[in-house]
Amino acid sequence: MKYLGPVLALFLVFSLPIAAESAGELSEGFGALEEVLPDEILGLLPDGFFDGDAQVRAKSVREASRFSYMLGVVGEAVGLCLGDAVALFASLLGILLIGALAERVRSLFRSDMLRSVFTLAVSAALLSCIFSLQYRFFAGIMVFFERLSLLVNGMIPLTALLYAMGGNVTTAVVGNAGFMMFLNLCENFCAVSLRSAVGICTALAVCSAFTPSLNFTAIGNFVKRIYTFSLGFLMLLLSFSLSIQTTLTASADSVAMRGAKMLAGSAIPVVGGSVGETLKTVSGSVAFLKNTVGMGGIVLLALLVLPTFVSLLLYRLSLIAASACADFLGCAREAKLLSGFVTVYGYLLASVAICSVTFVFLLTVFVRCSVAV
Amino acid sequence: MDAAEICAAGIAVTLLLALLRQWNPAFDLPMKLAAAILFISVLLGLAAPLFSYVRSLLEMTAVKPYAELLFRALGVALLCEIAGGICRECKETTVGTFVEMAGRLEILILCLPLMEEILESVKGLLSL
Repeated sequence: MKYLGPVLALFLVFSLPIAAESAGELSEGFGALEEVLPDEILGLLPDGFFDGDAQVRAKSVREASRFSYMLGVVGEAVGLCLGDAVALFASLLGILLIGALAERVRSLFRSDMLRSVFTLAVSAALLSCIFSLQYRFFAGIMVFFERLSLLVNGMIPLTALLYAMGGNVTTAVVGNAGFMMFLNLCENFCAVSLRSAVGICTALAVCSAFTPSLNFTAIGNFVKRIYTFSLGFLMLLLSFSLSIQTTLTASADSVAMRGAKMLAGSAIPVVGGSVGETLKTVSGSVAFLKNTVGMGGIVLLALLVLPTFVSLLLYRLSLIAASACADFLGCAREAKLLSGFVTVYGYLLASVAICSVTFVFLLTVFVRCSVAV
Repeated sequence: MDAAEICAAGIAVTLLLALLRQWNPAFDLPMKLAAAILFISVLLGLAAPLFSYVRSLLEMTAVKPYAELLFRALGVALLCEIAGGICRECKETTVGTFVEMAGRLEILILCLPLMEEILESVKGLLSL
């Protein structure tokens, strides 16, 4: 909730039509923005980004727009998350080694009672360890979605206000309102349905770990199919509406873009192909935002989305590696449990990818509306 | 005590038990119990450096509470398995079953805080 105001203020400040404006007023708006932006984002910005002097600020924004700077920011985000991801992997590996040792010892027990209860103890320890490591991260992801959802919902009345102020009601509504509403729905669906999908999958993973005799695969597959179908359908609708929209201009289909599409297709589960396909439009949207909002807005937008996305990717990689290690150590049950968590992370990643893409589109439509006013 | 000495002690105890069984079968069970206790204490003494090494390793990790609980559960299970085995060897199957059941109950009680932690986490996750 606390980031809703600043980010909206940011885009309002950036999206106002260019007019004779005194430098002092603009600096004032910029200064107010600095006060309300989260510390983790402020820490990543170069010195002088919110400076009162226009020349210093322009220099700072130029610095922030350099490729090496953005690469550094991504590197810093990776560096911050890498330590946690490696710690997660090391902890999981430690508990898996103990689990593998317990598996060997378990075979020494002749008593079925003791064998089953010891299996239960190992599963409980592993689950508890994973939950204690993951809970805070899940909570962080949910806060990200909540923030994004609030931001997107807050845009509807603002856009209506802009339409009313501009007087260009018919064109704006016909051209953009439907698309904007669809993007809003898409964003909200991802944020709301994710909780249920993650909750059900986690509960099933817990049940499977404690009662291996009961088969929850059918229920798990059903939830998975429903969720992936819904996300896929949403992306299909999005691709379709993008193909008939003229608001978001596409850039040239370069070799680099094809490489990025392939990477998105392989790295993001469920909706990777669709995200890869829409990358061209994302690129067009970013180019549009760059021309209207300015480079500063693009930098802040990237800083809002990138850390969550990168950390999710790294955590998922840690879990995949831990699952492979469990297989290697002969802990089939633990490997299955970790695979369940990899699936949950896949859903999170897919939802973050869709939300990020729709967020960029939403901003583009929003900024275009305000510019048209 | 190294492996060769343990092997020698094992053979000596077996021969002694065979002789005692011929001489007076009543000494068979007490001697077996004494031998079992002796060997367990020797084994524990041998494993002591290993335990302290594992403990020092666990001090450096985040999984220490879980590993400690698992080792405790392992200890209880092993103890009950040995005790139940001895009871069965003495043709007291019911007593052996009760001993194992007690072990099972103790391990379940040991797992209770973990279960509580897991349920709290799931509850928290669903209410996010």
